[in-house]
Amino acid sequence: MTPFLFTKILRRPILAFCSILTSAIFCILLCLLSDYVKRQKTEFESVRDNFPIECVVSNVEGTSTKNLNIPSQYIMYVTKEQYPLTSYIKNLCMTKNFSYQWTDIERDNVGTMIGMNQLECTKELSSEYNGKITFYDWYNEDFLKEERAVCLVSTAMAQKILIQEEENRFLNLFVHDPFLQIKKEITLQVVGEYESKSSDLYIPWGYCCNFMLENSDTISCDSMSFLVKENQKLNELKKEALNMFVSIDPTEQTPSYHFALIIRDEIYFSTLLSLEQNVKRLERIMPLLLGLTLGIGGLISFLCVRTEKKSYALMRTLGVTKKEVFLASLSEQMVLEIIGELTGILFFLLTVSKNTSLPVLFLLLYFLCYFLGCCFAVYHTAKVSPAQLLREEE
Amino acid sequence: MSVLSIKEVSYQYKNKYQTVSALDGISYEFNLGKLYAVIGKSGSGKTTLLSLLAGLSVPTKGKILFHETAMTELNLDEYRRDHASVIYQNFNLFPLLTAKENVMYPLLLKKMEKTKARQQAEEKLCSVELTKEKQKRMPAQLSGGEQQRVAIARALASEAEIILADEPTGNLDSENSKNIINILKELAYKEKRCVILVTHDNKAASQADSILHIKDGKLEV
Repeated sequence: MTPFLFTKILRRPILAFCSILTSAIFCILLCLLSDYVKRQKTEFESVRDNFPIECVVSNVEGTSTKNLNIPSQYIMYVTKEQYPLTSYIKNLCMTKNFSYQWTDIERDNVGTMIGMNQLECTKELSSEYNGKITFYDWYNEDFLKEERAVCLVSTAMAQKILIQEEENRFLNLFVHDPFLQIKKEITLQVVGEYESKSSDLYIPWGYCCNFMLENSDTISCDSMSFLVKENQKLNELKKEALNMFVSIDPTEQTPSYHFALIIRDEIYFSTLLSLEQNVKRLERIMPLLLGLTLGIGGLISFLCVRTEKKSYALMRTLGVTKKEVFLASLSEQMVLEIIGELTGILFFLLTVSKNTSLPVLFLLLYFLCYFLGCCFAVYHTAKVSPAQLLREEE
Repeated sequence: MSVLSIKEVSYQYKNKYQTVSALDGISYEFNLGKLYAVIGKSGSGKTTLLSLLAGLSVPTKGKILFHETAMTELNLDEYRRDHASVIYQNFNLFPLLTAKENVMYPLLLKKMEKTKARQQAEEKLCSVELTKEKQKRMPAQLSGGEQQRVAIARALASEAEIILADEPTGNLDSENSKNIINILKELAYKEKRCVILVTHDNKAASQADSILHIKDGKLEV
């Protein structure tokens, strides 16, 4: 190594600082961009895998998703494992509506008794919509998994029937369903109340099915919806669904027993497309940045070494070989670059992003591009003829 | 035996407009322990001669022999490091190194240990009468005469047999010029070096053992 290599660097602090700063800034930019691309890719994957795509059963015209009287066959399609559709769906919601009338309080007091398999089936009870439920005794939301004659009432209804007294927690109702031709008197135990002025009662799906079977030998539901289990298998779900559901036909005039499946995937695809395009756009910038580094490396080195031409000629007259002059100059530039790059990396890790890994490949490419730029600039400057010193004086 | 001899040496180079014949068939022999002066007008070829003797350029025709060995057969980087040293009109010190570091440089190139190189550099600088305080200064903080003495100390430190001085007093006043010439004379006679001085100064040239006149690329002894 030629003598006083690092001494010379330290004695040009401003030039050294500018060189280090430029290298650090480029390094930070590269890390930031790479980190952003990585996060966008992660978001893309997250959306692709986890975005909730809702599928709702409707009539053939696509105009109604409630009061459909969906027969048991469709319920089997989505609940029995022998049917392939079940492997593509999750969070199945089914509801069944009955009309009820009080038998023992006020005869003109009517409402809807709704059987459902989970709280998310209705906005009033759903946690997503901040549904507030207060359960009595040891009961909780698992009450819907039971087959017992229990129910939830609204707070307004609870006040009306003086629910504080335990004996008032048993409701005697007259229940009616025109489709299944059921008319029966039942007794339900109130296990909780939900915040609302509604007259709707909510009962477990299990009890609801048993009730239907006891009184009509068949079960049905009035609404059905589910989420796609694996978004990447959406096309397979669609293909499977075609075996059971028809395409929406707004011109359908006559009632039919066929049903359509509305797959709400527009937002999913548009979000995915937007993210994908963003990632591609950013990925195109990376090579540009690396190319710019090549130029910047060359330019910075050129600016640093051009004032040293005379020193290089002097070094040659003192017996330093061409190779040693080249290496000395290149080492000087690369020391500054390495310090700059390390500073940039440290700054990035400590301040900008604490939970990220470094883009090692890009940093290596960055180093390589800067190195090539330096080599080019230094080579042209360092191959000075030693005789030049004497000629300049003539 | 001569340390350096030039035999029918010619040197041509091309500039933008024409091919210039800087030297034309020069022959001469240089020995150790002598002071030589090369004089001539500007553009006569004296700096070109110095450049060839320093191994900085290669003659177009003829041969230059160092201890009877043709320079074309030598490693010129080694020759410049170990056997020949150049002192310039413009001093040409490393601006980012102190006076002492400038003198240490050729010693460190020869892989000398840093402590020893520092010691020797101090000795050489003292021998050219540069105080210890001034040895720590950067070249820009020294006068012209002091800078030239540092350059001479650097040439001394390299222990080169051949000292080539290109107008060493060109940028100095008469007092400093006189001092520099005296130092060069001491180098030639006491240290037994071969000192070749290129100069316009006839007074300086008159103190040399031999004077070479170069006129239009030809030598007139």
